[in-house]
Amino acid sequence: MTGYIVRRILWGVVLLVLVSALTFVLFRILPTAEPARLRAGRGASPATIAALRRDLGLNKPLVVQLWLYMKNLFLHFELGYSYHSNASVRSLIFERLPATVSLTLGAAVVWLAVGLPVGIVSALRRRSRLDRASMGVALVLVSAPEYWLGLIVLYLFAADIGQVKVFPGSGSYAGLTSDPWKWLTSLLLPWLVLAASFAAVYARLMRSSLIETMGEDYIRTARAKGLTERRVVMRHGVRAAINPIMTIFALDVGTLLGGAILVETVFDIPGIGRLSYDAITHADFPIIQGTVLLVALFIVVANILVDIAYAYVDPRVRYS
Amino acid sequence: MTEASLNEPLLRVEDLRVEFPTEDGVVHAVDGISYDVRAASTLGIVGESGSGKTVAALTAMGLTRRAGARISGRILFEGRDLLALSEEEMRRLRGNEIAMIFQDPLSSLHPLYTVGAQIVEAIRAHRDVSKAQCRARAIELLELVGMREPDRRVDEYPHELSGGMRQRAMIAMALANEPRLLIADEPTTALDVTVQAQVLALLERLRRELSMAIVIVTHDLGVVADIAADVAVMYAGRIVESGPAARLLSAPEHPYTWGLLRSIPTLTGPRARRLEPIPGSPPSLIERPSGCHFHPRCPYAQPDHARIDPRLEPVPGEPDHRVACLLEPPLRHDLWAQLRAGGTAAQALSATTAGVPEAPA
Amino acid sequence: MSTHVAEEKQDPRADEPLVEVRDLVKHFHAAGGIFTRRKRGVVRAVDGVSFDVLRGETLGIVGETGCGKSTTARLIMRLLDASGGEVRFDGQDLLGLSGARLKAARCDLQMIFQDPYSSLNPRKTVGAIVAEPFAIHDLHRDRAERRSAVCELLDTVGLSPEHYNRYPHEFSGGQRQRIGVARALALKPKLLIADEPVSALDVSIQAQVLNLLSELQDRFGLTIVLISHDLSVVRHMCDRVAVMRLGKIVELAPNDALYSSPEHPYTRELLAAVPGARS
Repeated sequence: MTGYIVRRILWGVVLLVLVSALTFVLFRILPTAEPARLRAGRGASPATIAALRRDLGLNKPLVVQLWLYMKNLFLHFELGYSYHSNASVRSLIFERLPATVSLTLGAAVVWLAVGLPVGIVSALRRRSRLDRASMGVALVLVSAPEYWLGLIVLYLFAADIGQVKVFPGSGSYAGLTSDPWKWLTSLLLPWLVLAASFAAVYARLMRSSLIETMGEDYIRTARAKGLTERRVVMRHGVRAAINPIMTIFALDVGTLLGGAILVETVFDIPGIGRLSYDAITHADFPIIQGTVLLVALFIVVANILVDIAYAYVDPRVRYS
Repeated sequence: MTEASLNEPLLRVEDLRVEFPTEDGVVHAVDGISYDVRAASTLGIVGESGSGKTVAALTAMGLTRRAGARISGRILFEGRDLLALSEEEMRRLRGNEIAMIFQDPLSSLHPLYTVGAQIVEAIRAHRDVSKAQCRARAIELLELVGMREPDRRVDEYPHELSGGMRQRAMIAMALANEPRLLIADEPTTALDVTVQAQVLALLERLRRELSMAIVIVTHDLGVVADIAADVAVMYAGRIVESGPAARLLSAPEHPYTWGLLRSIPTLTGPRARRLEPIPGSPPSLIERPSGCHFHPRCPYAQPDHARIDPRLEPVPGEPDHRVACLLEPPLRHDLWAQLRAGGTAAQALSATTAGVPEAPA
Repeated sequence: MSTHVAEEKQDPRADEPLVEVRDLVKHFHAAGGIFTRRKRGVVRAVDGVSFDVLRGETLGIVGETGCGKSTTARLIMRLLDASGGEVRFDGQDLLGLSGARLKAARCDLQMIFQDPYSSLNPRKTVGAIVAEPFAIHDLHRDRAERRSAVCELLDTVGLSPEHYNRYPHEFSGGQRQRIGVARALALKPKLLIADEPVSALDVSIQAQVLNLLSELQDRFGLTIVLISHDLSVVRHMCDRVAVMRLGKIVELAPNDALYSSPEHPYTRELLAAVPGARS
């Protein structure tokens, strides 16, 4: 078991190294950005640009640059400097991370709390009106684009521009530590919007997973033991059905932690997604590079955690 | 003299009918069967796929209710009609006074819980016992079913055990609350032959030690010969023959039973050059043959067998041995004598009808 | 008890065994280690097995789960690669063949499998399934000719030409097994290996399929290797029987001798364990 965990972690590290190297090479190959010219600003003389190139180490062979980059990255967590925003990429990321984390975790709670029970009930009452209705709604939510949904919701409920002025509008985010109430209320709509499509997906997944599980022989045995139906469904059915969902959940959260760009943009939440979006529009490569690496990190970590958790949760996996 | 008249049977099934409406039509899984199970004795229910034997067993446990089945008849367990009980009352009986074990122990045990946890759950479903006591009882049960090192096995997962041990674990779980009746649905089919023998010996020992009745559902006549005191042969949802096992297997009365016995290769007895299979295949339960369900495949069928439903009636001189066949008893007797002498079905038929006048139309 | 062969073969090799297996070995490695797939443990599925299969006979291989009988069959069929040993088929080394010569040799060795529900491609019609061997070996290129060859095979196994365009799911287990047999006979093989051919079938259908195999053996002079865990079936069908345990053959004897006076204690244990053996 420990061997299994150690193996997973080591492969994760290897993967991160590969992703970093690949990112680095990609960004150097990209035709548009000539970092020195960008930094020198408009109208700089060729001499200034040449000097900057020397300073930034852009003269050295690609391999040496790669080596320096990796060394800085892994030993010092040095992600570079954004001249455009005049701050180190690392500090920018840390500044924006809490908002994204709040958004993601809150949405995750909502989509699990809504999606899973709906899925369970649908599975148990297959082909009933409730089942058809909820799967129909799920289909709609899955198909609706997030930004569209976000705009609709703002149009309907936002305090500044909405028809029914219930929730704070876009741009009203405040940090948890500075203004907790504002933090909560400003995130309610974004949570709902972000959770909407995920809840739909999870409801459908839970439904199909549970339908399959409830057809297994051990459910029949559980009933033959005289267990209450509730126990049969929850402890035997759902318990087995939830495993595949767990894997997907970790991956979804991992990806979202890298920034839910669309929702953050519509609701003007200062998170990583917004940071990436702004960086893209300004061609601020160090930041883009940094956020790409961040997403990679989250996904790799999520994968490792899922693999490890799965081994705990499903004893059959441990010996492979 | 029947022993059943001295003490009421533990389980009495009366005219049980079970139907399932499906998209393709109504499946008549069980078509009016009646049988008794005496306390602490073993009844074997033999049949092939589509005979209804498994549905009959599941219905006794009340496990067919949620499938939308239409059930009629009576199932009397110690005098109470199980079919008239509410779901909650039935639940309290299941795993408690009546228990069931299934064919494939790997898929029938939950893969994510240890064997011990599953046994403990079975106990706590019906009794208010502390977890520690339950665990002790679980170890005791595993020992009772012949598992070595039960204190280690109790914390293992089903996939960590061998096939034979898994089946023992399932039996241990079924015995947790000292049931008076154990229903075993093909308990040895998925096991190796040496393990089969052990499990059958185990069931027989448990029956004696715990005074427990067993209903064993199987397709294997050898299993029935080994441990069943009484047998019921099912075909297309009906019982075609029933009675004491020894008698039924040595002097069967129904052409289907003859067919089964003659189409199965044996370990002892002469090696026939060819087996004599029953022609055709088991009928669909949606569109069954009219009258006697076996008549399309019966070499001795007469025209009116397609119209009349045979009833299960005692064989002359053997009140415990019943058969549902429209052939006259003396004719059956002769046919069997011919078959035993080594004749084929065709030969037996011509030999016996040669001297018999035409039956009135 | 010798079986009948349809016509006397003028083959000079007529009294040599059709298959000679010598010290056949198959090891499976259990992987381990952190980065490398270092060989941790070895499963000796087949651990030095030697036997002959005589022309025209039915040889039975019995044993319990994990004894290696199915693996042995797959090694002979070259569905698995052996770890060691030798197999000679019709005088020729079988394990060393590859490419076109292996393909040609495969025409002579055919197999039928246990599970009639998974051994037929559900997306192909019966006609396509039975004709597939022709397609692979480029025989009967003319469509009409191919179709009539397939119908002939269907008839041989007791099915009818109208089954040509149906799909496997429309048939019962016994019928599907017949389709498998038809497919196996398409290339007129010398050797037919039947791996638990009737275990998944109902009792009354088993007899039909076993009779079919006996009939076909008489008609086409087939040599059959029958693998089964069911000792009664093997007793009925086979001339000689090999008993396997843990990858080795513990006893190999003519039918009568094995069943009436088994020598090896394991054989005796198996025979005693068969339900109904005592009754």
